[in-house]
Amino acid sequence: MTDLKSQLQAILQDSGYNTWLTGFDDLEIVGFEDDAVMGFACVYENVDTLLKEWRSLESKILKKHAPALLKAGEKTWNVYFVFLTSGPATQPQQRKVRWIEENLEKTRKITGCQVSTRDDLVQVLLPLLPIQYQPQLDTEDFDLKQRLRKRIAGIAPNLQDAALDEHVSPSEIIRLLGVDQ
Amino acid sequence: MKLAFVEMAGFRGFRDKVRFELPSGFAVLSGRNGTGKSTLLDAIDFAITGEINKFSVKEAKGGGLDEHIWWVGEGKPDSYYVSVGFISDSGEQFTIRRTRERATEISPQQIMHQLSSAESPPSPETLMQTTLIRDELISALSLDLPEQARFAAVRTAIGGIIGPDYSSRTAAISSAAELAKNRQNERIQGVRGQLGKLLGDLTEARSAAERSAGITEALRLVEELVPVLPEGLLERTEAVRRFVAERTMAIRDVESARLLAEQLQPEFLFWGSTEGKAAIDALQTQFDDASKEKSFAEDRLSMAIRLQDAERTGDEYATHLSALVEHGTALGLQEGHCPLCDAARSQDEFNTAIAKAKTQLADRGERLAHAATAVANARSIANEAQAKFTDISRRREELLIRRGSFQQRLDAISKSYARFGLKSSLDDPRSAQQEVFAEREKLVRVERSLSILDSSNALDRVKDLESKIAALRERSDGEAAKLATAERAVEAARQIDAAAKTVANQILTEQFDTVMPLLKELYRRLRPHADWAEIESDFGGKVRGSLNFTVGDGHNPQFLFSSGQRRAAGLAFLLAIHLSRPWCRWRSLLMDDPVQHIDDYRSLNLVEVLAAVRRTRRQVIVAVEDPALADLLCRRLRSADEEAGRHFELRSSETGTSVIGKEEEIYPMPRLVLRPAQAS
Repeated sequence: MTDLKSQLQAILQDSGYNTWLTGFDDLEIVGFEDDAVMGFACVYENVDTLLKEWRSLESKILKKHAPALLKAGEKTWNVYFVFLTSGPATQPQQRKVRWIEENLEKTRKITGCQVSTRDDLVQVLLPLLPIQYQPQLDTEDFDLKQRLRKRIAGIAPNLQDAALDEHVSPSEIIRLLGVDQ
Repeated sequence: MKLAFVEMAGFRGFRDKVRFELPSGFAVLSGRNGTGKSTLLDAIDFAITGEINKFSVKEAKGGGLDEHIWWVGEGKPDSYYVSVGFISDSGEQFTIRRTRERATEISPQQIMHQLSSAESPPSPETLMQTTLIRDELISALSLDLPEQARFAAVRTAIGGIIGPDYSSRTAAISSAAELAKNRQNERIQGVRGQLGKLLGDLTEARSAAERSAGITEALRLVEELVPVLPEGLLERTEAVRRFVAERTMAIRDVESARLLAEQLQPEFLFWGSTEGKAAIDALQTQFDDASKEKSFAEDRLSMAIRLQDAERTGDEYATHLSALVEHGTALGLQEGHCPLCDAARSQDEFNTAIAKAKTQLADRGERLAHAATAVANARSIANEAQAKFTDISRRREELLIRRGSFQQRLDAISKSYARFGLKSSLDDPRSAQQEVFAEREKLVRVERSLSILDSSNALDRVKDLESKIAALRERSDGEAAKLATAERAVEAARQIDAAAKTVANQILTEQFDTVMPLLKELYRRLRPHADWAEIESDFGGKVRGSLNFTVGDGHNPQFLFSSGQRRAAGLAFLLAIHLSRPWCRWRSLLMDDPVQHIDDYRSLNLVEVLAAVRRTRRQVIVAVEDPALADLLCRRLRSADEEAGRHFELRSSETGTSVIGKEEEIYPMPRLVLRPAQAS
């Protein structure tokens, strides 16, 4: 079974975050911070526990780190909490978990249910991550002329070069197609 | 390439010169409505495109956009211009300055050369449309677009690298093929038209040929009747046709002559009889007599005149003598001598001589009167002779002229008869008429023979037409083969033309499929809808491409989402396009109030997306109205030492012009705040 916390740390580190593990009550918390953002991630056993305990955990951790946060200036506003569970969740439970995110008090909350794979984690952590996909559009596969040339070769083999050559007049192309004008 | 500064004066709401120094990280513009936040972005738009591309209506009552680009408020600006500076990673600078007259020293091509790496860069308008995301246009340029327009927008935005657009060339090839086919069709129609006409002619010729039975008899008759005939049937027919025409004219001519001869019958009778000769002879005799009589009368008159003249001469002598007698009488005898001749006379002798002289003088008057009478008589006789002579001469002349005229017409008739070959006598028009009738009957026979010969020509014509028709049919088959070639060429050209469009669309589809993961990621990040967290795309149309989006089980977000959700989804689309422009060297994202109608949670999502964009080392320039949101942006957009941030607070001055109220540097945040602390 994937260790979500390890995966989470790896993903965050790949994205430029400094991460560390810290214990809080009986929980293992992942701390993370980069130049603009800092926060804590907690993986719950199940969704019920998550729904029940996220708020108190947020308060306790903030209280614990208050001295440091007070010195962080504007960065204090950029504190994130990530609440995850790999356990199953009903639709209503999922909605309730999502609503946590819409609670903008104190910190920014990121939540996720049924998170089990790295891809699941990436999807959940997107607000913290850089852009994941950078399309590569300037490859030879997208060279219209070459693609069109191949297509024309299937229609009229003798035109594959001439048809796209601006120096060959359309009437000459027609002549090459055997039309005696 | 990033924005380095924007400077303007007299532009929109900025009357006085203002300069925004833009850091390479980000700039947040905040302020109330109408304080000039959007104007900074408008200035960039205007500098690059020469327009402000957010107004769908350019003209309106009270003045259009052109009248409101420059300052129209109180007071006069020192100058009117917009200047936008760019700087590359290597420090190279590039400035676009545009004045009120829109004069700029840099052409659109030069601008795009600086800001694009493509060989055929898109237009400055496309560049701005994919760089500047305006509140007004987020939906209009994305989800609310018709599916084909959405496809076209994607093609314009990300299709810049696929190479030149061949569609116009392949369309020209297709048109040329179509034209060649149409011309070939016209040629075939022409050949078929000729063939149809020849087939009609052939039917007629065949019918005529069927009437060519008596050809031998016709030839015999023609040879008999027509004096000179060449060899060859066609030549012979033509000769006969000419003969008929000439003979018809000749008959008309001789008939006129014959009619004239008929009219001259009285003259023939007159001049052919003794009466005519007698008339001439009688008039000649009368003429001769009258001539003599006239001559004799003239002689008599001449003689009478001479006598009268002699009498007149004698009378002159007598007058002198009478004067002498009177004088002598008056003088009387002078001493026995005549006073006139001095002869010795007695009185008696003198008186007797005077009396005798006076008697002689008295006879002289009678003789003079007698001579005058004789002249008058002679003159009268001479006049009568002259009148008679004149009358006879006239009558004689008239008769001679009549005879001459008759002779002349006779000659003409004679020549006409001779030309035609009439043997009849000139004074026998009836006989001549019979001859003409015979000639006309002969001509009828010739004409009938000609008709038969014409029919025989029809046989040759049938052969000729059959030969021509066979050749034309062969040509028609050849032209039909050429048409088949032309039709194949049209089909090939159409396929090539369709390929030019479909391949371009296919590449675009593939490109968009390549972009789609980014769009999906941005959609997930922006979370427009709580339940539908994923979006799918669907391309349609091979030639005219279309792009649809679906969420959930094939639902169309265009009609499913609220306006705020549509805007959020639209932002995902526009940002994906912005981040996928391989041709663009300008790495700045401009956003004009992108969070209107978006709730706080989704605004936060957007800020996080912009923070992620910033991590691609792009410059982000964003204008917002909400000060709290501006602060949030300043905190999240990641100021760094080498990519700093700046916050501009804009306000209106007392004079009504927009000014920078506050300019604040956004410094990088402290690092490692939490870990060193490790909690207390």
